Amino acid sequence: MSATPFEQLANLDRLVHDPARLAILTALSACERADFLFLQRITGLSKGNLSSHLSKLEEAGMVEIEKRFVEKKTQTLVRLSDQGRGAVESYWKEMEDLRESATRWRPQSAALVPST
Amino acid sequence: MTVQSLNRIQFVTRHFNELQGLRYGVPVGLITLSVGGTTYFSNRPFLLLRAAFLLGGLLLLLGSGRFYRRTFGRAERQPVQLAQLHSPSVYSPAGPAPRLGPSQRMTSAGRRVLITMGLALTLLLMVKAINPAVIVQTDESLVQAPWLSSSVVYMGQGVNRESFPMLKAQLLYALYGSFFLGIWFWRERRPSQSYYLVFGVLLLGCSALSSSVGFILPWSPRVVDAFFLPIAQFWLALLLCGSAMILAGLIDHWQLVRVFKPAVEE
Repeated sequence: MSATPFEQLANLDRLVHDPARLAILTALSACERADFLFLQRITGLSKGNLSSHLSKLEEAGMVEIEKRFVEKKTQTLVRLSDQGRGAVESYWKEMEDLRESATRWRPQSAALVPST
Repeated sequence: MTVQSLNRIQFVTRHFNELQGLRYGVPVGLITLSVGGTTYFSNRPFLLLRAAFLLGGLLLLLGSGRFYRRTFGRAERQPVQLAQLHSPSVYSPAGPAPRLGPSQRMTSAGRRVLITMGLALTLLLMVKAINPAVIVQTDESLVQAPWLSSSVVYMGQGVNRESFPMLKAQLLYALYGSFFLGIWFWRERRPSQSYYLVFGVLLLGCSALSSSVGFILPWSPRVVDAFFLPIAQFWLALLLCGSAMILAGLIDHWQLVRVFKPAVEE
């Protein structure tokens, strides 16, 4: 028997499902690599928040971070790893499955339906 | 975070470099306007204005890249996979052609732009070929404004020196119009990019209308005088195409500014 939409929702990858991280991963999935300023401006996150989310994603192996010096300033370049790209693709596939199963879903027992 | 905003993030990131309107659209438009197109614009005040347009265009072309890098950061375009490349030839509709060398291939979006421009120019040349030839004589001088001078139109034979300014205007409309249409295809035909479609259709329409003078002239010389002749003027073609390019560049820039949020400090 296939999973209910609630079970599917509970099984979603929390690391990707977080709105801020999803925005970062979506931006990175559309380019080869982006710098810190670009990610900060397009997601609207503060420096600290973005830094914290990037650290979590790096720990999970979803992004690769490269630091280099350009005109005596540190430039942080972020790239989506192969694992990260796969995770984003499977996340969207799961969301699509979830949308379809939520459309099909009907309560199986009257006891599950809240009384009015 | 809605699906629409994620979709917008994805689109802007994918087309980040092309959406830098102050870097591409506005300078090209200013340089187009600086051409002038008629002797009247060789007057001293206009000459200074044209020089300012040219200088402004060149400065923007050279300097705005740095402005975008400092304001919005940097996003590198995804490298194109070899399997996604197509032959530029329209005789290869079966999809990617893996046996061609890398220099002989281009992206499907680039191919679409090229095909759109090729089709528009071919259509223009076909219309020109079947159209009865006309000759437009304009009274050009430094003191008389071109919008006040009366042009004389009469049926002629083939393309000659006098019909050359009109042909230049038609080619310019076709070139810019098909370019705008191609960019609209390139940018995934999104509703937010429909100004490219509008500019493309308007300029291609101008090209088609100014090419049809030979058909209309025997039937309705008044309509030709009032409507067809003005848009066939080369200076007006430069003005319309340049202005459309500047406007498209400014809208591109506005779209970037709208999507990017201000940098938040702690």
